[in-house]
Amino acid sequence: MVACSRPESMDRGESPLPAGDDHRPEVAAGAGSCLAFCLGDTELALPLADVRETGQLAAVAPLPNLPGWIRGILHRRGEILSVVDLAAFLGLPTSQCAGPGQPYLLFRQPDFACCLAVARVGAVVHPEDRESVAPEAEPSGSARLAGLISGMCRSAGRDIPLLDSELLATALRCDNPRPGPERRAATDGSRGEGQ
Amino acid sequence: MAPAETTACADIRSSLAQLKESIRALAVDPGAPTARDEAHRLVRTLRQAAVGAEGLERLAACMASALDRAPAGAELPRPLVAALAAAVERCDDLIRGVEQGEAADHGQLLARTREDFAACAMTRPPAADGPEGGDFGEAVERLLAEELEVPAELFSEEPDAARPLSVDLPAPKAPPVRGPLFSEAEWEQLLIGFHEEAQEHLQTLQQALQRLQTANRDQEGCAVQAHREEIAAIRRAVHTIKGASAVIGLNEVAAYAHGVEDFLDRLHDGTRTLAPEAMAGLAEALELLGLLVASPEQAPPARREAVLARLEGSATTTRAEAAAGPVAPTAPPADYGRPAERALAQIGSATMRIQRQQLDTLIGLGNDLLASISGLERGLERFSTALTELEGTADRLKTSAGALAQLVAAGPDPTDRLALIARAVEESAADAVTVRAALEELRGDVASEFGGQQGLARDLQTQLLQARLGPMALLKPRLHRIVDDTAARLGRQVRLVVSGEQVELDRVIWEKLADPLMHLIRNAVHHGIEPPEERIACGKDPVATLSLGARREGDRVVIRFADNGRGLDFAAIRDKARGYAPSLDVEAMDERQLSDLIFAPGFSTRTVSEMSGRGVGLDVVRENVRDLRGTVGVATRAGVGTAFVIRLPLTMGVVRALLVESGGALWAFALADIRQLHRVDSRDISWEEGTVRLDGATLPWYSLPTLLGQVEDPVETSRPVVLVFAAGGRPVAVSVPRLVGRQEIVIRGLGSHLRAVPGVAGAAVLGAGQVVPVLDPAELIRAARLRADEDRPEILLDISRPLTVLVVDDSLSVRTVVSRLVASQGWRPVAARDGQEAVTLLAGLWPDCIVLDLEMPRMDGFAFLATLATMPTRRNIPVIMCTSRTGRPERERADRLGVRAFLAKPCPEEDLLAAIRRVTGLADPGATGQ
Repeated sequence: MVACSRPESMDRGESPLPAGDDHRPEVAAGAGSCLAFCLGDTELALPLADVRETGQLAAVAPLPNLPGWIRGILHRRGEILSVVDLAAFLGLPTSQCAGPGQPYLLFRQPDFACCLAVARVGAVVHPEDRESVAPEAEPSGSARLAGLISGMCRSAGRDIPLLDSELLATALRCDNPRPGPERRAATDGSRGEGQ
Repeated sequence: MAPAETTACADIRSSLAQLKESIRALAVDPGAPTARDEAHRLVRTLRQAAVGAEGLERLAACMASALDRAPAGAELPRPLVAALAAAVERCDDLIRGVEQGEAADHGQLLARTREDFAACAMTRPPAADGPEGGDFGEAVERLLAEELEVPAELFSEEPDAARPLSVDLPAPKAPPVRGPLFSEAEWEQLLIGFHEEAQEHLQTLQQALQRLQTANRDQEGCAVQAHREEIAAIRRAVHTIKGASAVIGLNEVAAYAHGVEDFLDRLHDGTRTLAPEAMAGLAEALELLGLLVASPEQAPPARREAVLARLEGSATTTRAEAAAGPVAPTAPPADYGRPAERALAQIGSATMRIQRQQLDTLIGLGNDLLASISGLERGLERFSTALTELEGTADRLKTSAGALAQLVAAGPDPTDRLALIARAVEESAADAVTVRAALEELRGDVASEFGGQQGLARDLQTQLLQARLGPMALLKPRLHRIVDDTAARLGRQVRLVVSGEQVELDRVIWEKLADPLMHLIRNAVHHGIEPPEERIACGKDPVATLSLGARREGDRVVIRFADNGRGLDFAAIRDKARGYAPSLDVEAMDERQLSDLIFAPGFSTRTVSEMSGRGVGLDVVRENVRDLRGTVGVATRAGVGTAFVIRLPLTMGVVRALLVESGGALWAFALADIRQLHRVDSRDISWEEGTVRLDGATLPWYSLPTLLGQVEDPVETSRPVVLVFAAGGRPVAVSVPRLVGRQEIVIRGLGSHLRAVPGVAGAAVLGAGQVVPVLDPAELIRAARLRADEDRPEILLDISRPLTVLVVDDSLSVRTVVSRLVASQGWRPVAARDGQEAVTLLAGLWPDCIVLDLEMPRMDGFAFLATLATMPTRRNIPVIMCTSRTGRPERERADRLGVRAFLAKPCPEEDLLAAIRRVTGLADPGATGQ
């Protein structure tokens, strides 16, 4: 997988997007444009048209009986949105900056929206070339990620795997929202059943 | 009168005179073909001559339309001949009025003429030798001979607006499709539904028309080829309106739409260029379609015919023909020149449609406003507390001032400094009292203003919510049809009695409830209701009753569906349970537990034909109800019947809630859910037994942090507050670490991603934008129990879990057919378009087997198999390859990649089912084979 290299603009201390706590990427940025982001050492991209906003997470209200990769819900511009730890969902090392202030992407598909918590939001890239790639067999347990990649977008000499928005939404929807092992462990044995 | 007008009048007079002769001939012999043709020709001539004389033209058009509709080749009905005669008289009146400078009210005359022709249309033609036949001919003769005047009372009748619109629409009291299946209210619902549907299509065609008009304007006529998409969109919309209107019996709309569609067909298939004239004609035709749907009285037959005639004329007009100018651009009459938008706006003049998303946004904003104002209430409470403290401070200052004064009086004070201080303190105390009084007054004003704002916000929110509500009556026609169909099919006699149909819920919720209710109905008729002869033998009415009722209960809607059939057959259910789960202690299960079994997924799919009780697909009922954050329960009595009770939360309303804190997060319970609230000593709680002693009673006890999957904090739970809820009809205690307070909240959904989470009724947004999950205590406890069940060897789920089959094929048809085949077995199909999507699905799915195509885009079957082999937890899922590439190399490669069965497309259903059974171990391999 491609290692996450910091975009030049970020190296200069600049945000790749206009300033502000939250920013709504302009759709007019161009069809086919992508937004790069990092999950730990992994750099990925999503079609810009499917990222409606980026920002920093405020307080997230946790919910019971859900897998660990769903952090909870938050309220954003009149809408309740779930917060997905994308790294945890994809089986990648989770971000060390989890919690308030962590960057997020507001990911939207028809009848579907959620906040994807990421480690860092990268630059808007305009793909010069895109090629179909078959998912590689990933020894690091990221087969899930391999199945979600629709191609590559190239930026500053780097090939960044591009996630298929539709597949991602399908995968996020299809997962059975049962408690993950980490949450199950918290419930085990803490009290007996009384009936 | 101008010479031209005089000439026109003369032409009209001449036409009218000839027309009278023709009608006289028809009155004598209604079957005379020559007289009929002549009358038809003269009516058209009259209409052409009357162009510009609006009333006369419309009367003539009315006559032409009536003649057009008359059955071809048969004799004209005598009432129609009489109506034609009367119409001619009215034309005479109009002409006479013009000549004498006394314009008659052509609107009234036209209305009367329409009524006459409408009455003809609704009258069965009498037999040629019928008793009234001869008299009628004489009556016509008399009418014509006496130069009948328009009755004076015609002008004293109700204005047009109050007249029934029976000419253009079927009379509401006799809609053609209602029959016994539709009540008046249902008919109204059908019409409303039609208008809503039609408006969507009118909007679609309007958008396409605008694009077409823009292109036409820019290019002074546009190539049809370049705009086929727009034309096709318009044609689809018109076609759909035609079909929908025909289905509910709006034949006038259907006929007109048919005419417009004919033009569009020709335009789409044959014409090279859409000339500006044809464009104008199309725009007018579509505008008229909108009018006809919305206000039929504004789209009379004459106008429809005129418009269709113009379309007919322009259909073959090419751009070159238009340039030559044989067809003059039709300047629409001023009355016809309204923009199409106005026609659209008139649809259902009492209603207005907006996008659901827009309404939801408004509701969300209204909720936020209310919650925000509710947050101010808490601020106001804090302000009052501060005022109370200020009052105490003032009192203490007064006391200090008094003490100082006593000190001054008791001893010498050479410098008067103590006296000065005492006075200063006394003045400060007085100032504090004054400030407090001013603040109190201010608080009163703010509180009053706040109360007003809160009332307004609540009204706003109520009205917005109201806009999404619909009565249960929305479902009634569908449910009646299901009852009738199922009963007829199974030879049962069943009536459906609906009560509480006025109970309102979000329309979306009713839609989601439709399937479960239909399922319950089919199930009841199929398995619960006895055949008539059996019912008679039992002393029952041979006609069984299904009752469906809805009522509000606090913050919930309770829907009860019951039948008076034979009830659940517990012996059969027990028998089935025993067969499916040998490890299950079936004999120890009580009736409540056995009743619960019928909701288990797949439990009943094998008992459809054998078990006399319920079961088929009831898991679907429970799942759908759960999606709505509701519950479903069942009660039954042998020989008496079975009742299902569905409870749904009113999630869109404002509720009073108790806020609690657990694990550092806020949570809310609806106050209506809480029966009691106690603070208990931790010694009253038995952790081992999971009980708590309350007022001498022992109740099941749970800790909220545990229910929420949080780590218990011993400090927090040393003296917990215990809330008592009802769960499963019994009181249950839940201890909460800390109470925060009460607040009015609006319960919302959890967003488009999560929809339903066990134990969570929804979420509320507090004034500061903080989101708080609202808990459903009964479901929270139920979810905890399920978790505990999952930790033990699965019993209930094991016996009932249907197979899950992942169908991977790039052909929609194959996916659909195979999925349906899988579903028909009571198994669960999941479809993927290609290998890549299947890999994605497998991240969260554990199917029992995979039916895999070979040739697919993005990732073919072999690539998928290679990827599957890298997934440690999924690599052993059996795969059946189903492909048209059945050569030896493909078979051998599939075999190497671990495919368990290889089938050639097209594959017989039984072969595929046998393969699934074999690879999943459902049947003996030797018995099934491929």
